[in-house]
Amino acid sequence: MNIFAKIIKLNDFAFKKVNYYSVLLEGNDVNEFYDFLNRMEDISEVEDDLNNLVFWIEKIGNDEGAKLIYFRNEADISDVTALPPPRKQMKLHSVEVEEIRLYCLRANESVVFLFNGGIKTQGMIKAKDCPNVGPYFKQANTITKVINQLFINGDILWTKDYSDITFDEALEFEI
Amino acid sequence: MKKDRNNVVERLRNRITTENKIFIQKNIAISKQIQCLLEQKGWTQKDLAKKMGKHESEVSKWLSGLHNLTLQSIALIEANLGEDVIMTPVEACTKYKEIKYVTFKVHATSNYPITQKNETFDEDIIICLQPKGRRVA
Repeated sequence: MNIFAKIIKLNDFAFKKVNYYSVLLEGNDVNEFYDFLNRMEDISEVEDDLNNLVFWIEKIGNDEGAKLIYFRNEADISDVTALPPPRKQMKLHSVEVEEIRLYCLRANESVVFLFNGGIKTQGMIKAKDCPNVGPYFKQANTITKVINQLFINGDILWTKDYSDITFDEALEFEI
Repeated sequence: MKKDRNNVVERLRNRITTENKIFIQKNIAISKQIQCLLEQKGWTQKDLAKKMGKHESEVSKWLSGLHNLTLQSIALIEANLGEDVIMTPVEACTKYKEIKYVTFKVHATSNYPITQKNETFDEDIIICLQPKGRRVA
């Protein structure tokens, strides 16, 4: 069954160089990124990794910008080739701190959507096959594909200088 | 007591240590330095990976600013780039005190201080900087 979702601007993560967004799924109390943080928060084995990740997100947002070098390509099904500028291709990325994976859509150097993630099973197993992060990886791919389409349809628009996006606050989409 | 799931960011920010901050700052600085050296050489991450006998995805992970790089990995990168990636202040002091002049070519007008903004610059000014204790020509 498909569920509705809406885009949420993360006001706790609004910085000089990057505006971060997430999605709120119908029936959930928090957006996907906050759900990830809540689930990881009490796992002592990844406490340092999570702290590092949160500070990294702030540092990228404040000082560096979301440069491609900081993100790892994890594109699976969500590649698209016909999008408005400044990027012709939007891909699902992951950021990883040792064992933690967080999936995200880096729309450009100033706009990043943070989704969900988890602790990836060690070894050569692919993200989509991992019992821990697999569902979040697939979900992030699906959401990325829909968001790409929202850009194409003009439901999400770039600001003039491409430093942020605008959209109707009531905008909902099905995933 | 049930935690407030909306306040997770505040809780996490309160537990970020100075060590966490230094780790990320140094990591990003190293990543930027490697990227800068690659650009200077006209190399891609793939070129570097190939030279080191590593997979490109591994090098990409190293440059993310989040990976816990070992000194061994940094040494491998330096050996393959043929350049320093990290340098302690003492090393930097020793290396750069040998430099006598640094020349900047600045486009500026002769009638205004070079800090003046929005002017049409009409000639070049050469500024020579010397180490402390030397007279500027």
